[in-house]
Amino acid sequence: MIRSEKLTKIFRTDEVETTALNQVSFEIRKGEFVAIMGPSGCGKSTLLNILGLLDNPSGGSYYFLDQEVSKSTERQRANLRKQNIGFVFQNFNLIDELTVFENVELPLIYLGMPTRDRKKRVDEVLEQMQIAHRSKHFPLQLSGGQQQRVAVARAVIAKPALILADEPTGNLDSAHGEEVMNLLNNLNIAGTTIIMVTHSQRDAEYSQRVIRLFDGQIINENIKKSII
Amino acid sequence: MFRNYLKIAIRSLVKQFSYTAINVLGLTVGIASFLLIMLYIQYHLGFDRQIPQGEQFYRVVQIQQAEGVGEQHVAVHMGPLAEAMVREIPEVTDALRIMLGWGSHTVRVGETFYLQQNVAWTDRPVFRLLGIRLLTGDTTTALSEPRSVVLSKTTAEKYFGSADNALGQLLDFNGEDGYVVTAVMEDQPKNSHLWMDVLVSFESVLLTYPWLKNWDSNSMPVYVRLSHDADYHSVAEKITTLVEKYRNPDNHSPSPKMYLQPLHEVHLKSGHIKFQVNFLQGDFRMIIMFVVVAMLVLLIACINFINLAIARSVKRAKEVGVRKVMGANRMNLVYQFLGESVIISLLSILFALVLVEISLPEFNRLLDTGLRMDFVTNPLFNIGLVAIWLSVSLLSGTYPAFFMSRYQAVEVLKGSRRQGSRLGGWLGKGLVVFQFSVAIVLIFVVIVSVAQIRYVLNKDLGYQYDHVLGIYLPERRSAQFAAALIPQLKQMTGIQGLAKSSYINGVAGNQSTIEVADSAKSRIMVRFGYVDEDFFPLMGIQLVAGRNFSRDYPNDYKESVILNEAAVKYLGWENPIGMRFEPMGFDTLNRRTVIGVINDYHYYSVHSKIEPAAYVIYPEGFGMVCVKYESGASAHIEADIEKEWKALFPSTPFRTVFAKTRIENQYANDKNTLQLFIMFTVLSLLISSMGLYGLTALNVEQRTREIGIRKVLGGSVNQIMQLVFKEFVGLIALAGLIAIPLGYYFSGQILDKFAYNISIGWYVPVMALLSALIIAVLTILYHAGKAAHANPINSLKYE
Repeated sequence: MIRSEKLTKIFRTDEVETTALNQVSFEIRKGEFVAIMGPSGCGKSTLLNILGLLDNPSGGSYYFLDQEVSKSTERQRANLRKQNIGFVFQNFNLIDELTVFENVELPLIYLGMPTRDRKKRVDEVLEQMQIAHRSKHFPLQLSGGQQQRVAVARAVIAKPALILADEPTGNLDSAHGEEVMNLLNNLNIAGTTIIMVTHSQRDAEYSQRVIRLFDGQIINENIKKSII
Repeated sequence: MFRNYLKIAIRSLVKQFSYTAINVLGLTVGIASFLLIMLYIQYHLGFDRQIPQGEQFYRVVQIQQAEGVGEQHVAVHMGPLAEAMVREIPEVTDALRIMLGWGSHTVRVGETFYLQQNVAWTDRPVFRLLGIRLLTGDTTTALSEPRSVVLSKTTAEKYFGSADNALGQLLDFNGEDGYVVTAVMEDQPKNSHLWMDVLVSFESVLLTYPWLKNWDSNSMPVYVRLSHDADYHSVAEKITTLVEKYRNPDNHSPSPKMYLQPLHEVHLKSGHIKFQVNFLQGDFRMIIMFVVVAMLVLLIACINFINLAIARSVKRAKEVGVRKVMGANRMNLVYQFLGESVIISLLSILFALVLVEISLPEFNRLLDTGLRMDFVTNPLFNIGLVAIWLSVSLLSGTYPAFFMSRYQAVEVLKGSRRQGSRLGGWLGKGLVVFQFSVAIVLIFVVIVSVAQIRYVLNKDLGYQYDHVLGIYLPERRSAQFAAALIPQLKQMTGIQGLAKSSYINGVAGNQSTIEVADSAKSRIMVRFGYVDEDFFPLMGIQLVAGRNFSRDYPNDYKESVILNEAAVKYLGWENPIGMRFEPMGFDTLNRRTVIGVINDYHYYSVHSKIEPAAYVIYPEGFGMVCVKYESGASAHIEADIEKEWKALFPSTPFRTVFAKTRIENQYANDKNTLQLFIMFTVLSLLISSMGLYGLTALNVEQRTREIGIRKVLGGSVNQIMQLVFKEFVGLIALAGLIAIPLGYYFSGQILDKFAYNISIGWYVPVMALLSALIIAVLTILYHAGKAAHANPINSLKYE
């Protein structure tokens, strides 16, 4: 599903040049649950942004669904993104001015789905995420765990083949964190590919494979047998 | 998708109420000013549109080279000109002379007297050429006989109860009987440069003034209609040649150059024409000036929108990022943000309409107009509203929309991005500088205008006009009325002196060329003044040489003349007393000798230069008895005199003018213009300040962390305040640098309207700049103080 070859990302300012990713190569197959780990500043989020088509690499190739996308335009990336990828962030990134329902509905709007179908689909997913009773509330009226469930609902609403999660439990207490991890795990069992950046060894346990990054390079790739 | 945009727009506008309020309020005021000016322009451009085929219709103007006055444009002409042009110039298909009687005329119907204004002596084609419709009577015969009168519907109803009743009725006109009402016409529109309530056949005035038949005097406006293919410049040359051909060969003044003024320029572009009929005359330059100012006010409001949107964009960066991650492309976001400006402008337009409706009466009073909003019969206004809506939306929404949609999702979501500099970069700063430049220029102009109006009203005009009342005497019976009235007035208490004159300012309104009785035959064009022996002393007008008219010299009234200094100066006489003029064509054929010279006093307003004037005793020309009264009698003098008048002349209307009122009225337009300018200045300052207020609020908010750190490290309240001030005060100083030269330029334009004006002192730019600074500092003070006094713990915790 995803293949990177010598992926490089260099950030330049007037005086400093920082290599965030240094010739990273790996492959992720459809249906995998992969965790990316490493210390702060090792390039985890940069990698995730490139994998999520939010950013272009400075060098190397990136094949998404067998398509070379490392030099795509913003418009092309936006199109691929909205049809295939869902995002879950550490700080939820819900729009404060929209209700739970409207936040979850957003990707479908940009996909151009008719109103009636949208409503049906959002209701389904909110039900599934057990947050339907809060659908008319605004994000700031919810607890952190509830907000992250809304964010997961939003990530899966368009039935993406891939979900990218950036420290999904980082802002949650352990009980709520576990809840979210179970949601992701269930999605993976249902067939969704998941790539997750995390600091937490506990969260990484949910994955089938861990990619460890250090100073922009892969230092170790663990393949685990199964989930506990 | 549209509903989603609308929803988020409305929610984010409600959430940021003060920001929305600043935008809506500013735009409301800006749009309201603009709408008012739009109505005002439409009103002025609507003048004279009732005349059929107006684009082929012209007013004849002549350029005279007047000795002692210089070149002057005049829109009155010789009696036979109209007929001669039709006869001899093929392109002139029609010509029309309309002699409007200045002032009031006495009309007697049965035993009732009326004072009638807007009387015009004219010819039959007037109906066809001006598109006048008759309610009763026949256009082909209505003005063909001498002493035929056509009344407007309202006038007919006033005199005879109804239009039908009026037909065939007799009336007395200026003391002559035998005038017959031959037709009644529709009331004529007031948005016309000609106001006509009564038409009298031209033949009638020829009976009284047979000299109107010759080519010697310029007394009446003349209009022509040209054939379709005619070039009006070449026709004008033919008219010049025609006048040269028929002019009295004894007339040694240079022959005038004629030109044609398109009808639709008469109302707005006639400021350079001296003798003309032009009711409610407008000034094209003033209109342009108002348009510019109104557009600036609107622009300032749009700038607030742009600046606040950009300054606020940091807050919305997250939303932009999330939407992009969720699949929005840039245009989706551009449309969304534009949608918000569309909503804000729509709201503002609705409020602006209310504001216009409320302020129209005052606006009409100031500008002496009858503007009203009419959505049904004024499609142009509706189109204008939509145009304003769209252009304000685009003007204020486009840049912020593109600016905000530019945010990269990845950078925003990383949370590292603190995009959107404090003032939106150079653009934001430039816009603030622009706003305050406009404000400073307007303040500058207002200060100069106020000073000029004060100068004008307090200027020594060369005579004393306080406590002087003029009583109008009926035309052609003035001597008889004066003789009866004056002895009665002399017995009244409170009256200090009495005099007779052509008008309260001493001059008669006409201008003629007179010739010096010497070998050089020098000529000079003068204003004539008809005064008696008492006028100059009564008005405190000083003699600078010779003597006043005197009853001790019985021949003064036919042999003497008094000049003003301007006339003497033009003639270059060192010893004017005793110089002689050829007969001036009054009731005597005697030469007149200069017996005195008076100081140059402003018989007209200080807009115009004091021109040469010659004063003679000419009883037939006395139109007024001037009364100097004690200051204590002000309250009742007019009523007291009216009582005497009613007793003496029970059936003749009583009409007066106060000298001081007349002078104040000369500057009424200037004062009203000034008031409008003040209004616009206050508005632009208000909107600019609101923008600055919002901008400071956002600026301080975004620097909360910086200010917190500075305080933790020991920054004092004063130092923090300075930090906030520095950024804005510098901008306003820069605005001053730009604005002050412009202020000099525009004030110069306004002062040019006056022949006598003030010089712009150093205090003007200083005051303009200081007032802008003070307003800005007061605006910023609140937020700067709040930020400086805040507890740093809060701001750092927030981070």
